[in-house]
Amino acid sequence: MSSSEPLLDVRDLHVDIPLMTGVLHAVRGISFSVGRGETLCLVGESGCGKSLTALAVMGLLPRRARRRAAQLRFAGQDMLQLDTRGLEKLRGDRMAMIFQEPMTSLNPAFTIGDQLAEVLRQHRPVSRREARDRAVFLLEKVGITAAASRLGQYPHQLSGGLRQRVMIAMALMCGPELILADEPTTALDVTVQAQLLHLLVDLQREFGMAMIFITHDLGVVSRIADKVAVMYAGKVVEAGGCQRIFRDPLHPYTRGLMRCIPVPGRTKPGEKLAAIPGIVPALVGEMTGCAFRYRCPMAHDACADDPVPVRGAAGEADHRYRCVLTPERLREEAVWEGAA
Amino acid sequence: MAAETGSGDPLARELSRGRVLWLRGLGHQGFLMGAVVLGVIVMMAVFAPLLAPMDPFEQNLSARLIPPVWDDRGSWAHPLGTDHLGRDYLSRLIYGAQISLLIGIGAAFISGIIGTLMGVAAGYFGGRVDMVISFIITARLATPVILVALAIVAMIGASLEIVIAVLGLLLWDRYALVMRATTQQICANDYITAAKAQGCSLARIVVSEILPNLANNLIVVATLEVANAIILEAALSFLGLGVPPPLPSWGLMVSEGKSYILFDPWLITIPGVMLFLLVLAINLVGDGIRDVTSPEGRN
Amino acid sequence: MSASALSDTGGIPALELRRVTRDFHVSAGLFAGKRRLRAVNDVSLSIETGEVVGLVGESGCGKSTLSKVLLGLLPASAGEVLFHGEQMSHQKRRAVAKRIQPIFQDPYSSLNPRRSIGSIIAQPLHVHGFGNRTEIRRRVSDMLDVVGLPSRLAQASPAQLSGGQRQRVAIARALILRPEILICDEPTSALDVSVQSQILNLLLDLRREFQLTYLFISHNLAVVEHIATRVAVMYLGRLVEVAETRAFFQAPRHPYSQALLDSIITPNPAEGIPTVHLGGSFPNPIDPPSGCAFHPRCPHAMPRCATDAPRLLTDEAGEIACHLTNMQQGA
Repeated sequence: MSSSEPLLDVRDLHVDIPLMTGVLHAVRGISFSVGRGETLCLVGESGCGKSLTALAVMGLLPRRARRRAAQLRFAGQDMLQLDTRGLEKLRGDRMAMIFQEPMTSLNPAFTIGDQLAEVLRQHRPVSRREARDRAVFLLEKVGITAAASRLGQYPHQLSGGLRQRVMIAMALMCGPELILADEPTTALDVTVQAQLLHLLVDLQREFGMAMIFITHDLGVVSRIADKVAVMYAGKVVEAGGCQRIFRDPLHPYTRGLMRCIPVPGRTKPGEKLAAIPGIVPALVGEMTGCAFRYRCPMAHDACADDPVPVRGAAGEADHRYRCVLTPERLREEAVWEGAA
Repeated sequence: MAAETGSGDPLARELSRGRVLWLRGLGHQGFLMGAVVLGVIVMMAVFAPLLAPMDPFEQNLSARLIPPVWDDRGSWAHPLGTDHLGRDYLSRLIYGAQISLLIGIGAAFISGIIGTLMGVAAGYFGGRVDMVISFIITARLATPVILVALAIVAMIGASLEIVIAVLGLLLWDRYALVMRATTQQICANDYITAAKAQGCSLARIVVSEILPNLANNLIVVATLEVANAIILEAALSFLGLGVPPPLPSWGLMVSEGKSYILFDPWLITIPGVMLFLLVLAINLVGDGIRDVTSPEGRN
Repeated sequence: MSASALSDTGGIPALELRRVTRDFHVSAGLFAGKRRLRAVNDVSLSIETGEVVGLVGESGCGKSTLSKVLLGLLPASAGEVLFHGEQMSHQKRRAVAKRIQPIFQDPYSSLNPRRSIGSIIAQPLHVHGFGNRTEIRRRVSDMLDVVGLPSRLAQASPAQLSGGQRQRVAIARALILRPEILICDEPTSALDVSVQSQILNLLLDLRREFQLTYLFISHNLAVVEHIATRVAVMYLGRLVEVAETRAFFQAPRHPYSQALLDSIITPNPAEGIPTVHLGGSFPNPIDPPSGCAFHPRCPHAMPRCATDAPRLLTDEAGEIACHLTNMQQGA
């Protein structure tokens, strides 16, 4: 990466949600940074805190949730110091979010054209006409035919794939520097998924945007990410360049994830897949040691100690993982092979 | 095989549902207040024979219109005074709780059965059945309850049973609407499809799959309807076509007190305040149950 | 064309569909009256005992309607479903239930939140009149063991279980009547990937242990490749290709199958996002295109495709409905 300041720099981010039974520590001190034009993928299973991380960055957490961070800088601004006004100025303008379910994030009572124009007019002193032109331009960009005639349509008149395209166009209205995409293709059919991913990546390149892409799908990650952060139980357990993570995964959880999905051509049909035993631990209350130790085939006594060391893979400063074991030790162990 | 289940996970502890509801209930102020007031009134009704100092029907024309104890002319012999026939007002109030609750619960029970049957049928079968039932509900919503109730009571005469029956036959609309919507939601779940695929009979699906999931909403609607029926009964009694005298219903007490409002205002304020408290308490409890049992707990 | 698989094996298939069609009548507007929506259109398919047939297709292609017809929850508008050669429409609801059971996608909506796990699993036994309480309790406990859950969970409520555990309960409930056929409708797509592999392993084990036959509906082709022995591709209510899994994944023949295979995204950082040659969007099922329903999106469409619907023809490699292959083979 370049020596200049990254576009988004997050240090030691926590998200706590007070519940009746105690405090849910949903995100437990994660750090990452995204450079201009870069794609960071946050990977993990449900409940690992990946969506809350994105919402925390956007300042869109549910009201009950509390955010703490040592640092949260976006394009040179300290977001921790910003008030609601300042955040609202950033959101939709310089950073935008795309959600998983486009039907719930588009307002059913307004036409698509109105909603698209509204985003731009909120942030820029432009006329209706200019906002409309921009909307048509972007709808064509996201591959919607007869864009001008679509402006008068309501969200329910569009298919799921088209709605998600509209959401992407809406996110692009102000030409943001950072896009946060939370599982944007999960609810769509596979054929549509490939088309939309293409579109997102092309647009990202064309407009030079950075992207934080949240997903549980390792296939998608491998195809679009520059950097990958694997999350488990509110912490990043492994992070590094995309190539490195897929060639030489070190953390037992990352390796388990890669082993347990069927891959045509690699896994043998009808044979047992590797399985990560057990379920994700509840994150209510204090927790010490490695959260993965209850499911880890290599767990031993030292895993219960705090803090779990963050290690770097030899020769790769960027590739770091959180485990008591050394890279050599992790590599020699044939974890998950035929484990079931 | 499959030893990979994490139920033994030491961190996967969860509170049981009952305990969660209990904690939420204790944390809900409106619910607590309502429950205390309602509890006191229910106790009054249940233990009326033990609590009432005198016979509520016994007249004593020489001791008419004695004011309550806080008035200079009052005495502890009649803590809340006496009415225009010299009956002990506290005793009438305590027995009146019985009548009011009986009418409220009785009417809500009858209308609950009618409304739930219609709502479940409409929600489960959909299509034509739904169309017909929805029409009946709309027709019922367009009916002025008080006028129809007045007309019926005026035609066939007033008695406690008739008032309960008339109110019960008129107040099922909210049940039907809520149960229809809830049943539609429940039927969209796969466990209903699973039950059908097992070859379950219709009766079994309704009794063991749908009704238990309706229970929460049913309780909430029922509390609101109890309050509604009590108010309607009071209105009917006030108009002279509710529970016939000398039964001590609170609505009737208000009605009987209205002639004395200028010189003996306690006759109308005391039962009026009790009616207000009872209806408020029932509504608070109903809202509380809805909040406490809703998935997010709305806090 | 319906006699296809019979000739291969000579046996009677566990499940056979003969030209099954299912229509819905949807209102097209306040005064427009009702219009016919053909959700399943002339589907013929036979499934041998022990087979796992993967049924793939986009949302809205009729997969779920077909599964409801097979479960006897929706009557077919035309055609017949046969179990071991006996017509389903001649059998009682409960007799069908004993042979064929569903597993659903969403483990949260498939278990009644008001009942205990034990009573959920025991329900089919009660329905089918197994009266003996201790016997029922023993079978529930056995079944929990089979699906890999501790028997003390019988007292738990669904809210206390994770998604994967709930899916195991759903499997236990489906298996307790010892059916021959399971209709699995996207059984792993609502689950996390690490749990998905647990459930797939379990389904593979159970198939061996109980000689089960699966119809496995999924949009995840990698999962289908892993678990299915045969693949059936559905497009807008019709089957467009049926083939052995290995052959299908090596050389899909229908252009739609090819597009589906192209869109699989495996973890491979050396490759980019695949380009799927699929024009346009999924058509409205109320207004299906003329001729071959796929022709507006097909990269190989010919004039003929817009007018004639291709028939599903059988050859040594399977069944296919496409003018292109039919022409190449001179059929």
